[in-house]
Amino acid sequence: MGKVSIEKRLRELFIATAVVAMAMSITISTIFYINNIIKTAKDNINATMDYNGAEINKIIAEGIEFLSILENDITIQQAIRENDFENEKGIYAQRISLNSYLRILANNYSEDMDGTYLLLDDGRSFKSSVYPFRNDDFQNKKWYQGIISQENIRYDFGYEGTRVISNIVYPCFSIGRQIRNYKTGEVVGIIIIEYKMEILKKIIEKNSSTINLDFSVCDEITDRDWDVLHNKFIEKDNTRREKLGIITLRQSLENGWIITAKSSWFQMIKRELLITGMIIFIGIIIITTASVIFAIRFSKAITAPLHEVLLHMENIDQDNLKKTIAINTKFIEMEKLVSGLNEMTSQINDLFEKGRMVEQDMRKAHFMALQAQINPHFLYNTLDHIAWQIRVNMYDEALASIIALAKFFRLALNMGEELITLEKELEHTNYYLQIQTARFKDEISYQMNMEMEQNKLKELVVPKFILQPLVENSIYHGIRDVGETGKITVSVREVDQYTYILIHDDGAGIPKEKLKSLNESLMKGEINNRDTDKGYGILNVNQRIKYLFGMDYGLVIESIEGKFTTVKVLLPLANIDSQIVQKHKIHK
Amino acid sequence: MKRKVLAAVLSITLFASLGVTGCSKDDGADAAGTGEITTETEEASETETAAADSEVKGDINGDGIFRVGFSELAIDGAWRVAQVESMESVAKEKGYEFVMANAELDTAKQLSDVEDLLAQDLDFLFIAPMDMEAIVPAIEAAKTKGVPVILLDREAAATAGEDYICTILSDYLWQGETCADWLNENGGSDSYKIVQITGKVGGSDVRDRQAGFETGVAKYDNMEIIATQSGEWSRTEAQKVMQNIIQSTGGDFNVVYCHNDEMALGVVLALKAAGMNPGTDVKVLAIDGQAEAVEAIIAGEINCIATCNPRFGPTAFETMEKYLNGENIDLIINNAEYIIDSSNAEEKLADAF
Repeated sequence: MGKVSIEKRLRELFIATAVVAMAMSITISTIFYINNIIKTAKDNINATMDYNGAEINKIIAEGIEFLSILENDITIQQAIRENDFENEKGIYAQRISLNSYLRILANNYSEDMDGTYLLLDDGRSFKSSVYPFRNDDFQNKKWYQGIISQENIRYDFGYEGTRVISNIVYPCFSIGRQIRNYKTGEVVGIIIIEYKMEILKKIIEKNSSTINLDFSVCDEITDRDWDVLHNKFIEKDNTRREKLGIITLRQSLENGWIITAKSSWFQMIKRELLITGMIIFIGIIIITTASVIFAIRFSKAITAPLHEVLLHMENIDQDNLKKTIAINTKFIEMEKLVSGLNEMTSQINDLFEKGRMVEQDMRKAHFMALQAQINPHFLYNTLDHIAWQIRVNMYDEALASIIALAKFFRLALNMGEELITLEKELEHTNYYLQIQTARFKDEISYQMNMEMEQNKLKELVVPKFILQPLVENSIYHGIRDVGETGKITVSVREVDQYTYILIHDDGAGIPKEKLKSLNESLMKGEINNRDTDKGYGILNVNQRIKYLFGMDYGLVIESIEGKFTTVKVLLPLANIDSQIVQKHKIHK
Repeated sequence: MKRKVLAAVLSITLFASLGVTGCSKDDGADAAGTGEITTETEEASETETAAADSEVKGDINGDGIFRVGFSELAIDGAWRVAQVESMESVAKEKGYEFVMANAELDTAKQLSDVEDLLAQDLDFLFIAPMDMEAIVPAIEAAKTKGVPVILLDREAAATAGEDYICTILSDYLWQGETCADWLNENGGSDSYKIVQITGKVGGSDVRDRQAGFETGVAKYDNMEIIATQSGEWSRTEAQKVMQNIIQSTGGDFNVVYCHNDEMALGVVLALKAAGMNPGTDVKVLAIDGQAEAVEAIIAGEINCIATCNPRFGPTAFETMEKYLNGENIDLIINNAEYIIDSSNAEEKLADAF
């Protein structure tokens, strides 16, 4: 898995979280909303349907009541019984007055009825309508026989054109019932009320103006429904399955007919959906923008201090460990991280300081140990030699030795300074060689070649005791180990930008392998080398030079076994300031 | 955390705003209106034979179908039913496509009816105008569209022969005057105090039936019109009006002249209710001739009817064909009319509508 930055990851996570939350809330609220709309629509349709159903029921109830008024009406009962006419005159006179009577009754009772008819088995017919009768025999009609043959009220649903009168075709329904002669109890005919189907439309238009609904009415017998709003018959929809997006509700009327309301909720909420869509779209844009901005700000709030910390850590090295970082953040964790980091760097700094002190102490100890190691031994030998000179009456030589020894120690003490000018170091070496050559008169000779200006020797400050140990090595390990006479040459010269000090002896030399190992140790500035037992002094000198002047300087040994050994001491031509500072530091 | 709260708040806001808009519903008013425009398309075979002979004369849009429109002012009684049936049956017989609109006694609706009819690529238009003045824009609209117009049973305040071809109608003046003449011949009384029940004022029929009758009355010194009121063409309205007149005059009249027999039937009811005997004490004169009224003559309750033939079909389509053949057309064409009284009522009952 590839590594990504915290900031990017945080941003992605936050945006994703926001988008998911938004999508979920939109989905949930949309579902809730649509459900609610459907429910509201159903409630509305139900309420409208209840109302419409009640109105239609009311009309039917009025019709039934009117039928009972008619069958109990004295005038009508009298007319039924008065059927013995001498001529047509009587029939017509009765018809004229009863027609007008029916009309007045009907008009006063309700405006909804299209016509009320009294049809009798003896062929007499009476009408409330202004339209003329059809010129056919109603007694033979099925509907007439259907009504007269049953005691109950009979509803005839939706047929084209009125049944009794001649009129321009319009669809009707009727409520009819047999009528009895109350005197004999005999069924003599029917009373029938016809209604235009259109009145259903009027009812529904009155009540449904606010809802986009398709109403239809049917009875279960006929194979057609009446589409109320469009005033026409439609094929009966027997599949009561609810189609998607369409709400269908059915309700039974009191006379057994069924009123059906269909509504497309999708059509109803189309406009709302459009508005919803727009609001959601705007919402998405706003939320997305807000999320992005928030995510960027939030992730920055976390990562900006991190970046500062990172930058700080990159800049930390030995020299500025004391520097602390201050970050303005409201995150507790970040604060802890920063304070932890600060604490850590200061602890590291303390450790460094401590280490440096320890190292200095160690070096001092080494140096002191070296001095302590050399001095008693050398002092004993020299004093032993001076004693011998005196014993053999070489007083002058003894005196010179004592003077040289005294000067040697005065320089060695050197006010406790660790650094010393090259001139004095060379002088110190000279006293040492003087003492030693006096001691090993027959075995050792030496020569010092000063090829540099005296001024430069006076100005160049070097670590103390860098030459004396080398010369001592040449005497003891170079020349005296061989048991022959030897010569030591110390040369100081200026080559390029270096001060060269060469300590040459024509003694035993160093075996090749050992030399290689020794030179490697010198180059790396190591302090210990397992392959050399006499190397302690050399490595110590080398390390001290490198410490003061840098890795470019130090010792290089050239040697051929049995022939010679030359130790090259590379020093700068002059000190730079930091070395003087170092000098004071060391002094401290 | 903050973000989730924000999302929640937003979703709630969304939902709330939707809830509010959700309450407003479209007012899906049905544009179809209540107008009854019925189209009677004949059997294809019938029209095809007519159209196959030659191209149809006067077929304005050249679609091979001759479509005739009829704007009927109302179908409010037997007379109108007979008129529409007659128009329709003759159109069917002759193989024309017939389109009809019913203005339901509404002048404004009749104007929009004519517009609707004209929009159906009519080749010819019959109008039975509701109002003489109000129908003029409709006639002009037809003229603009180049659809020839014949008016039925009422005139209009436009120029015959220019704005429309002609008017086919009963001779209303004749009807009125004949009623007066019949009364003079058969009234059997020395003097006549007459109550006039008019139709709804505004049509040429009312105007002329009144004018004709008054002309006739003026010829006879023993006739006097003591009251004139509108019965609005309606039986129940006429009955109420008659009741008022009986009460206000104390029954001091012996003739009622009604502009149609539907009102006469109402008058008969009112007279009977007041204890007066229609047909004997009070002569009832009427116009039109519907079956119920003819029956009333047989029953002796109405005395005389001057017919107003509603069967316009034959004359209307004959005149239309004459016009299409380029023949000269009289500006006013009168239907043949006659008088029905007790002498011929039983015979004429078969022709009654």
